[in-house]
Amino acid sequence: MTILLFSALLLVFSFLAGLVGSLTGLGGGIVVIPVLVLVFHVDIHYAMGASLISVLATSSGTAAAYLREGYTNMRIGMFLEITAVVGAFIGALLIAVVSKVCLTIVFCFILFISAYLTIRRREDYETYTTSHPWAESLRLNSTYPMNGKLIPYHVQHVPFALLCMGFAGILSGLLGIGSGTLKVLAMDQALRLPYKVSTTTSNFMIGMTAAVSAGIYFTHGYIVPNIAFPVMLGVILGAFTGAKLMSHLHTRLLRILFSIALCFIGIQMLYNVYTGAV
Amino acid sequence: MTNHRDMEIILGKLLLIGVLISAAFVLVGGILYLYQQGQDPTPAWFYQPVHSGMSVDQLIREGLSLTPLGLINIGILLLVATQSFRVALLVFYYARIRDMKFALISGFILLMLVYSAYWRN
Repeated sequence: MTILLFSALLLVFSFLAGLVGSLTGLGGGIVVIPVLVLVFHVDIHYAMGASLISVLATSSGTAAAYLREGYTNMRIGMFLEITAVVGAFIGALLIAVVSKVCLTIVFCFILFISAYLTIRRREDYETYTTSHPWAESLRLNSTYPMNGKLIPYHVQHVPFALLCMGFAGILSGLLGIGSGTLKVLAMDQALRLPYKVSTTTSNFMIGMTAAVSAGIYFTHGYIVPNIAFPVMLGVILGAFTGAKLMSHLHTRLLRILFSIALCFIGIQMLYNVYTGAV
Repeated sequence: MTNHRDMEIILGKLLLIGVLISAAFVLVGGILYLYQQGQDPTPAWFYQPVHSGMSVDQLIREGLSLTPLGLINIGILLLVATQSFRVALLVFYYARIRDMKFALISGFILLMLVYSAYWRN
C-alpha cells in the first residue's frame, strides 16, 4: 500500500468514525481505535495517540457552540477536572507498564459499557430543591435554558462525582479516549444534572483531560504525525458533519444499532487477543 | 472586565480559533507530506510496536525546520497548547473576580498541563 492510499483510506474511515461518534454521543475516539487496529493493523499505541489528538480537536471545535448556548457549567467542569487531570496523568504513565493484551481487554470492557450506557441513556431528569453542601459553598448550582426560560438546578453528591472523574481520567489517559460516556454518567447519575448540561460540561472537560495525557504520549512516541494527521482531520470533519445532521435525524435507532455493532467490534478485538494477533 | 457569560463566549472562541489554526498547520503539512512521499510504500514501522518518543522541545525544533511532518507536529502542539491558554485565561478571570477557590483550582490544572508537557521518564 502506498502512503497516499493509506492516508486517504484512514481519512475516510476516521470521517465515518467521527460522524457516528458524534451522532450517537459515543465520541470519535472509542470508534477510531478499533478501526485503526482491526482494519489498518496499526499498533494499538499509535491508534491511541491518533485518537487522543482527534478527541482533543473535536472537544475544542464543538465547545464554542455549546458555550454560546449556555448549557455548559464551567464551575462544575473546572472543579471536577481536579481529579480528572490527576487521573489522566496516572493513566498515561500506566501505559508503559501495562501489556498490550491487558490494554486491549480494558478497552473492550469500556467499549461494552459505553455501548450499554448509550442504549439505555436517561433523557428526563428529576427536580431537587436542595443541594449538596459542597455545591453550595463552591456555587456549583446554576440554570439552563429551556423554552426561552432559565430553569435552576441543584447539584447532588459532589464527592462521589469527583471520585468518578478521577477514574474516568485514568481510563482517558490509559486508552487515549475522551471517556465522555463515563463523565456524562457521573454528572448525570451522581450530580443529577440535566442531560444537556452533563453532555456539554463533559465536552468542556475532555480537552483539558486529553491535553494532560498528550504530553506523556509525545514523550513515549505514541503520537506520530504520519498516522495522526488523516485521523485528526477526518474525525473533526466527521464530528462537525454529525453535529449539523443531528437535528434532522432520528438518532435513537442509530444509537442502538451502532452500539450493537460496537459490541461485535469489541468481540473481534478480544478474539484477536485470544489468537495472539494483538 | 467581563461577566461570566462573556467569559464563556471568549473561551469558546479561543478554543475554536485554536482548532482552526492547528488544523490549518496539519492540513498544509499533510498535503506537502503526501506530495513528497505519497507514492512510497507505507513504512514497516507503522505496523510495529512504538520505537521512540520525542520531547516537546525536540518537536518544536523539528517543527521550526518546516518539514511537512514538522508542520503537522506544530499543529498538534498548538492544539494541546490551546488548552493551557484557556485554563490560564480562567486563572486570570477567577483571580480578577476575587474567586480565590476557583483561581487556585484553575491554577492547579494549569500546573498539571504544563508539568505533563515537560514530564521526563
